[in-house]
Parts: sequence; C-alpha cells; structure tokens
Amino acid sequence: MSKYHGKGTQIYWDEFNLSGMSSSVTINRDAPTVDTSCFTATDTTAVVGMRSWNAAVSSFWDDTTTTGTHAIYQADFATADHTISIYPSGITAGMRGWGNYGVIQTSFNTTGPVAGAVTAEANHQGSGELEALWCLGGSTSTTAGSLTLASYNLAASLASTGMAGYLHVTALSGSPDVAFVIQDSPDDATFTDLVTFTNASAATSERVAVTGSSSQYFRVKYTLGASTTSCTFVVGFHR
Amino acid sequence: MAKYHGKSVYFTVADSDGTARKISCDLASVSLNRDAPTADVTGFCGNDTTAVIGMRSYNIALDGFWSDTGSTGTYTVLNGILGASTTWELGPAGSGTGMVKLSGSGFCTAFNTTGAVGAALGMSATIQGTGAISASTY
Repeated sequence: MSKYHGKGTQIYWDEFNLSGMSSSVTINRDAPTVDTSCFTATDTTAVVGMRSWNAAVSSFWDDTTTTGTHAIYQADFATADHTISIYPSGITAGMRGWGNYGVIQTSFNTTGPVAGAVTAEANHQGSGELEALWCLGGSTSTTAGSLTLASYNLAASLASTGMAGYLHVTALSGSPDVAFVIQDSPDDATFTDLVTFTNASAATSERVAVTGSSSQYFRVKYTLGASTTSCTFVVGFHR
Repeated sequence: MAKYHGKSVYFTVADSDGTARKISCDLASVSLNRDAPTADVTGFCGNDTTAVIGMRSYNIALDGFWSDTGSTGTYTVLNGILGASTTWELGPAGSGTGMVKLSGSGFCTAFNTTGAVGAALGMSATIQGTGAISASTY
C-alpha cells in the first residue's frame, strides 16, 4: 500500500456510481472532546465524546435521465437511509474505503458560472458508524453461471466480530436475479459462504450484517441467470 | 443529456409587477443552494451520533453586473423587489426544449451594488426561497 493519485477514486451512492460525474469528495470525520481540566492542574485534560461524519461530493451537474446528478439528487435530497461506499484508491481487491447505510442527503447546490461548467454540490450526513471497508473488487460480467473474483488475503482470521458486506449493483440488464455472496477461507482453497446478499433483479444496493468468526481469505461469488446480458457491481467488506 | 458549460444558464425572476424578467444575460453566476438540516437524536449507550431529517430550505445567490437597462436590467428588476415576494425560474442547461426547469417562490432579501475603480460595476443578490422547488422541463 502506498500513496495514490485522486483520479482512481470511486463513489457509490445506492445503485449509482457517481465517479464519472464527480471531481472531488471529502470525508469529514470528527470526534470532539470535552475538556475535563480542573483547578491546580498544569496541563489540560480531555475525554473523547461521540464520533460523527459527513461526506461532501463535488460533481458536474448532469441531466442524464435517472442516472445523472440532477435526477439522483433531485430524488434523494432530504431523504434518509441511503447506502454509500467510497474507495479513495479505486476498487481493486484490497483497496480501503468507507461505507454507511443510514446516510441523509442534507444539501444539493447547483451552480452555473458563466466561465465554467455547471456544478452540483451535495453533502451527505452520516447517521451511525462510518464503517471501514476492504474492497473485494468490482466487475462488469456478461457470462452466465457462477463466477468468483480473485480472493484477497486479510492476513488474519478473527474469532468473533461484527461484519458487514456492501453491494452496489449499478447496472443490470437482461434476465433478473443475480446472486452475490462473500465467501471466506482459511487456506485460499476451500471457501464457504459468509455474507449472502438479496438476489438482485435490477440496479440496487444493500448492506448485510453478520456476526461470528471469519477466516483470512475473502472473495466474491456471483451467479448470473442464464440469459442475463450484463451486470456491473462492486462489493466491499467490513469487519 | 450530459454535462454542460455554464454559459447557457437561464434565469428569470418576476419584477415588482409580477412579470418574469430574464436577467441571466447580466449575471455571471447563479447558485441554487438547497439544505436539509438534520436533528441530532443521539442517546446514551453509543459511540456514533445518529440523526433524523428535518425540513428543506433553499436560497439563490446571484452575482453579476449592475445594469439599469429599461425593464430588464439587474438593478431595475431586483431593486424593485427587494423585500418583496417574487417567483423565479432556473434552467441550468438553458431553456431549450427538454432542458430541466426548476422554479419556485421566494423573497428578494439582498441586493448589493459594488463599484471598484478597476472593474465593472457589479451586483449580487439573494433570493430566499419559500415552499418547495418544482422540477419540470422546458
């Protein structure tokens, strides 16, 4: 892992990939403290409070039907419970990111300067934990049957922990019901199902939480219906 | 349908007689700022804040050139409705057939004139929205 150029950033908002319409994203995370300094002390002391976060996304105003920023934000403005996944260094397996499933879109600003492009600025207010993700990869598949993405090694197993999978299906045409599963393995050979998503019959998004232990190798298994023509998706994993 | 240069922005505002006036040719920037603030509903026993959605609001920030042209200049139109109710219409990509049209009602709450020795006489104005924004097409 290293430093990265910003051009690889991927932003998923529900069933939409905002990356091709956006030019900047800033994730602001705060954990304010309360001062507990008392008389006679020489140095201040503090205790930490509660965390909060928001994400500011700068995009180009795009009136593409259904999938442009105008249509997306016009519909989602001032509504809650959206699922977001942000991968600053791209969606290759193993790239880090963040996800949340209770997001509220709290602003939608459209600006038209005479000497520039029309822009759309949106702020997404988080509600609940901003979960750290490992991207398990993304793909556009047109092949029927069960396939897997390359596995990723998290280098250690965990005996018991809360886990969650994040799925964004940004395009699905043809026959419905594509199945997505996150599998884990102790040896990168024998995999078992760990997180099972609801079968996708159209572009969609979902966060599925599970508990228990997990191994160290993870991969995405997906199964397209026989006549499904195309499915584009990305999957992330939190533990 | 796609991304657009800002040069085609179309904006009208109703003058003191209620007539919609196209003033976008005297403007250099139009910003429609929409907010939906949340209320914190975080209780004890958690590590992360939680929130619920509240009520939407918006304002429109106009920046451009001061113009006293007839009945359509920025001074003529906006000075006449300062402190009064008005209606507005915004076409971010222009007003051609099929382009997105946003419209609503509001109050002109600011009209500022700026004169600098080395620049064009400028103006800025704010329209505070009231009620919902309507979205349709031209």
